[in-house]
Parts: sequence; structure tokens; C-alpha cells
Amino acid sequence: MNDITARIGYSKKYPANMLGHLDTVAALQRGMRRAAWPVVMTGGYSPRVKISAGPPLTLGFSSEAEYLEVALARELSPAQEDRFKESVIKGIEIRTIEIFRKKGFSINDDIAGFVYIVEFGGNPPDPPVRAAENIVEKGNGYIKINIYREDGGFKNPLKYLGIDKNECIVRKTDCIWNNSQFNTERR
Amino acid sequence: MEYADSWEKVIRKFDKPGKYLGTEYNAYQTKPGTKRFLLCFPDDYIIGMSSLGLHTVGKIIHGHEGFSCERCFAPGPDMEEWMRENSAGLVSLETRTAAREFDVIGFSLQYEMAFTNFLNMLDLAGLRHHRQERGPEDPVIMAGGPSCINPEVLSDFIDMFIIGEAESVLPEVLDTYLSSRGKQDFLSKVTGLKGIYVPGAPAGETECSVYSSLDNRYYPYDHPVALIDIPHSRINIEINRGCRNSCRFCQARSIYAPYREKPPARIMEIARKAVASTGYGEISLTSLSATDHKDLTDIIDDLYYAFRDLGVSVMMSSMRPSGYLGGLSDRLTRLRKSSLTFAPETASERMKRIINKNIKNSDIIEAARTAGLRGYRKIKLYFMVGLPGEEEEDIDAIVDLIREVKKASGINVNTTVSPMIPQPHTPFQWINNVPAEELAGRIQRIKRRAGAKIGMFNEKQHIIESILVRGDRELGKIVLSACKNGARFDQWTEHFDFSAWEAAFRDNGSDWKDWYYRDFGRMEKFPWDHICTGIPKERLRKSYADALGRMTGGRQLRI
Ligand code: SF4
Repeated sequence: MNDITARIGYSKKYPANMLGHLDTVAALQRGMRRAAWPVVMTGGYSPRVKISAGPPLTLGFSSEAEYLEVALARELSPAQEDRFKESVIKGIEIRTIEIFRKKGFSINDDIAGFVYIVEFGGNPPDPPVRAAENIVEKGNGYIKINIYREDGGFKNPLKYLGIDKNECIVRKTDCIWNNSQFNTERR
Repeated sequence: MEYADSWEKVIRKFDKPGKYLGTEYNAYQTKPGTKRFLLCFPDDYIIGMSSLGLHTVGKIIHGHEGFSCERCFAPGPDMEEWMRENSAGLVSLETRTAAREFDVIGFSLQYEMAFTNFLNMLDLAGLRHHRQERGPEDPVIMAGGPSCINPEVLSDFIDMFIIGEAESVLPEVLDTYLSSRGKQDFLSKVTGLKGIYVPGAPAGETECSVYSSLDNRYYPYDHPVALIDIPHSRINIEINRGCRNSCRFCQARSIYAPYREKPPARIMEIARKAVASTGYGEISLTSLSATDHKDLTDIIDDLYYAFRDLGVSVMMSSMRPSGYLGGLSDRLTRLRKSSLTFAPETASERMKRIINKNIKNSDIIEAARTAGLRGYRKIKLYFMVGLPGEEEEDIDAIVDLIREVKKASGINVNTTVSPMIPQPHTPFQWINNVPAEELAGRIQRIKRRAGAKIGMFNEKQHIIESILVRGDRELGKIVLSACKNGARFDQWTEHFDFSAWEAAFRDNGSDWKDWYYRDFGRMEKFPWDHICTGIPKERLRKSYADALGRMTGGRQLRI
């Protein structure tokens, strides 16, 4: 039997973008508890909520495409969904709650890459050659770049572009999914 | 390129910028047309936000008609540097209003090693340190918290102290403020209230305030929830207050006398509301002696059944394993199995009688065995050295007990050994300080012999803390000099700067040694004698005499 899984899509902007990845996940978990979600715990001496968060977003970046999945013992009532949406911290907005029945439990397997927009004070610096093929757009004051999985993880776009984080503002605008998401049985 | 908020541009370069947002879930929302109270914690955000005391006071203030509360924590070193470079004053967390714009500024003083931070915050706020130099239009500066049990050190700087439990007197103080015409009128009206000490008023005695009902009226179940990970990312429930035991080194039992319990139904009410409001996944039963609660097993059962489906676990801050194996050992599996904490403080029978701590070693060992069997991962043990009449045998008895706990439990044992600091309002207030290097030697001996992991002991921090707890008004001048010399975050080993303190003593024509080695035994009158706790000085003296009587025979300690 496949587990009931809720995939939560959310955006993360100021002020929440001043929080690290773990603090963000913890804040979402508290939201679930405020909404009395029937979460599933892992076993062991210190049980934790069975949760799988997407790749960490660098502190200071904002995003319109963050995801995490949580295992549930029962389906959610509309009231539980609404209460959760109201229970999150400032700067986080819950955009989607999709319920799957899903085998396995790692959202990372479903994600192929991300789209970022990097904004600069002036004209964008010349990015290193190796970044060239990832750049999808170069405009006045910004670069749009796709980051795909590399050595099992996702690089920080600034490392790719060779830019210091204090010289730009970074926004993740989209998530590129693997086809595997269609293997899940969507309700 | 534009930031969402100009504040984002400022804080993004700091360590843990989440400390400076003030956008927590349940953060206080200013009520229009009210007096404004700035609740300050003179240490880092992560420490202050872990404090049940701070949240309780915030609840009292913000819930009071006619008042709004905002918070403020000591800015970190990187933030302070930016503030000083940019002449940016201290502001509130919620609305970033300048501190000096507030009607009242209240400081929660929970330990003496935050005193320099307190003075630094006044300075950052653009306020004069000395109360007599501040004008009638400046905010009232008040303070409360455990450190106010000896208010003298800071009494040149603070307009009004709350001594004892805030719940019983703060609402009256706030009402008085609302009905007063100006600061002076307010201070003269609150003078004489039980639990209020106004240093500028004629000398008199101040009795500790006690919240005898211990009801849930001010329980901060809906407190602001920290945005970043803090030491207590959990719900703290105080299930009882005070302590029935009378360990002679213990100040807490004097401050929080008499012993009171909350009935299980009241505890469940807090737990339900707090889980729904904070969303935390852990409830900790925190009290001086939670295991003394007569209904403890019922409380654990109720919480366990009510919350297990929500993924909320229950833990206990510290256990006192006397009679513990009766009902509680069955309940261990219902608690979060990360670690169990015991504070035997000492191990030899003789020393137990001297300090009046009656935990049986056999109970601790038995409890450790049970913890190991029940799948716990870690045991934490707390001991003290530097107790009066301490001899080699007493130190070695601690070593033996650590070894036996390790053997019986078969799991990790973390040991903390701290030197006893003689505290005001305890039977040991007459005891002179022991040279810090001697204390270090005793800790070292335990470390060597027990092969235990024992945390670092900073001799210099110990010296300053010991001086501060039994200080007087004169010492206040030295604390101010230390602050001016750059002393900050003295509780943090990485920030503590002894040279700033040494220079401060020198600036005031003295030496830390004169203070540390003061002869307390001969002192007729202590600076804190005008504060009356529930335990009168005569009783403390008798208890001390009894301890002295038990220090007979044995070899002198040599390390
Ligand atoms: S040390 Fe603990 S047990 Fe002893 S009196 Fe103080 S609070 Fe009670």
C-alpha cells in the first residue's frame, strides 16, 4: 500500500528568506501541528515527523517554487488545509497542497532542477564560460539561469556565476520536475 | 535591484538575521492608543526566547488593558558594530521603534553575567546610565527576575525593581502607571507595594511578592514562537513552583517559597492551548523539582494519550530519583527517550548532610539502570565542587558514582561539574569564596579519574560571577566601567573578556581579589538584607550553623 503524502508548494520571501533551511522546515512543521495534521512519526528513540524537504534554499534567497512532502495517517479535511495556510509565518505563502499516494519517500528524486533569476545593481558581470549553457536569458540588470542536478546535488547559482551574495538579489522562480512525478498516483 | 525592505539589506549580513525580524508567529501586535512597554532581555535572542519567565511577563503586559508590549534583545556583536558605526539606536523588535520612545522599559534580569549587557543596552538606547541623571520625560526603567533578589549592584541605574514573582504585582504596577501623573508620581505611588523596591525612595524593607494561586491566568501558552532554533524549541510547562527540599546552596527555593502545585487539569489546559498556538512538538515539564509533584504519573499519562497522535512528545527537565522507581519507571517509555537528567550535586554521605541534599546514590544507580533498559540514549549528571568542608573523599565519591552510573546504565553519561557559588538568601551566604584554581583542580581530578566528558570551567568567569552575586552598590560602578571597557555577553566564554573587568576594578582603585576574597563570614549586614524572602535570615543562620557542625574529621583536600 502506498503512503498518503501531501506535497506542499510554497513561496518564501522576505522576511522568511532570512531564515535557514532547517528553521523554515521547522516553522512549516509547527504550522502543521497548529492545524492538527495527522502526521506520521518515524520510529526510534527520538521519533520525528516523517517529512522530506526539497533541496535547501540559500539563506537570503527568495523563492516562488519551494516544496516539501509529509506523510499522513489520514487524508486532510478542508478545514485542516485552511488552518495550515493561516498558520505559517510571515513571508511564507502556501500555494498548493497536493495529495498523492506514493511509493518511496524522497521529494528530491522528483526534482531535476531549478530556475533562478539573479538581479544586479548594474549590468550583469560576464559569467564564466561553463555557466553559459545554463543561462537562459540575460537582460538589463539580471540573468536567468537553470541549475540542474550535478554530482547528486544542486549548486548555488552564485557559485556558478562567480558572484558575491552581497552584490545581487536571487530569486528562485521555478522548479523543473523529473517525469517520475507522473509515476505517482494522483488523487 | 531593490530589497523588499530596507531592513533586509541591513540584517542579511549578520549572524542569524532571523533574530532581528520580529515577525514571529504570535509576535505582539501594538494596540493603538496604549502606553508602550519595551520588554528587554539583556542577552541574545536565542536565550531570551527560551525563557518562560520572559514570555510570562510579556503576556501580563500585553494582556493588560491600556498597555502594549514589544520585545528587545541584546544585539549581537556584529549588529552592535553596525549600530555604533551608523549611529542607529536600540529599537524594539516588533515595530523598530526607538527604545527611548517607550513609556516603560523593563529588563528581565535572570543572571548576573548579563549586567554589562543591560548597561550597554541603556547606552545604545541613548539613555543615561544613572537614574538620577535621567529626566522626567525619559522612560521608567524597571527590572525583575531572579537576579533582583540582590538588587543593590544595579540600584544606581534602575528606577524600580520587582522582587519575587511578577504575576502578583506587575498588573498593579501597570495600573498605577496608567493613573499616575509622570514618572516621579508613579515611583512614589508604587513605593511600599509588596514586592516593589524603589532605590530612590527612603530605605525600608521589601518583601518578595508571591503568586500563591499559581493559576493559568498569565500562562503564556500563546507566546511569540522563535523563528530560529533556540535551546528550548519547545513548550515549557511549569507544573509546580518552589521546592520542598532545602539544599543549603540553593537560592531558587528562597525566591520561590512556598512550594505550590498545579492540578493535572490545569496542566492539560496549558498543554492543549500551547500545542494549538505554538505548534511545538515537544512539551517539557520544567520546574525546580518536577518529580515532587504528587500527580506526576497522571500528568505524564494524560499528556501522552492526548498528544501521541499529533507527534508531540513529553520530556522532563530534571529528575530527582527519590522514590522515583515507584511509579515513574513505568512511565519512562512514555517520555521522549533522548536523555534523562539527574542533579545529585554530591555523592558522599557526609557532604550530603552538610549541604542537606538527600538523594540516595542507590536510587540514582537504579534509575540509571532502568534508563538503560528502557532504551534511553544518554544520562546527564550534575555535580558541584567547592562545597564547604570538602575533602578528597568527597571528590572521589563523585568519581565512584559517575563510574557506577556508567556501568549500571551502559549508555552515554554526560557529566557537568560546576563550582558552587555562595548565593544571597541561602545558608551558604556566609561562606568565603574558594580560590578558583583550587576549584579547577578539583574538577580536573574528577575528569581524570572518572574518564568523564566534563565541560570546560572558566576560572575567570567564575570569579566575576561570584563577585557579582554578592555585590553591593559600590560594585555597580565597577560593572559600569567594565561595560565601558567593552565587557559584553559575559556568560559566553567566547565573548568574555577578563581584561575589561581587571581594568574596571583598577579604574575604581581596587582589585578583583579584594572583592573575591572578601570575608563574608564576619559581615554583620549584607547588602541584600533589606529584601525579605519567605525564609528569614535567622533560619538561614541556624541552617548554616547546622552545616558547620557536620564538617568534622577527615583529611584536608589536596589535589
Ligand atoms: S537544589 Fe533543587 S532540590 Fe535542592 S532545594 Fe534547590 S530546587 Fe530544591
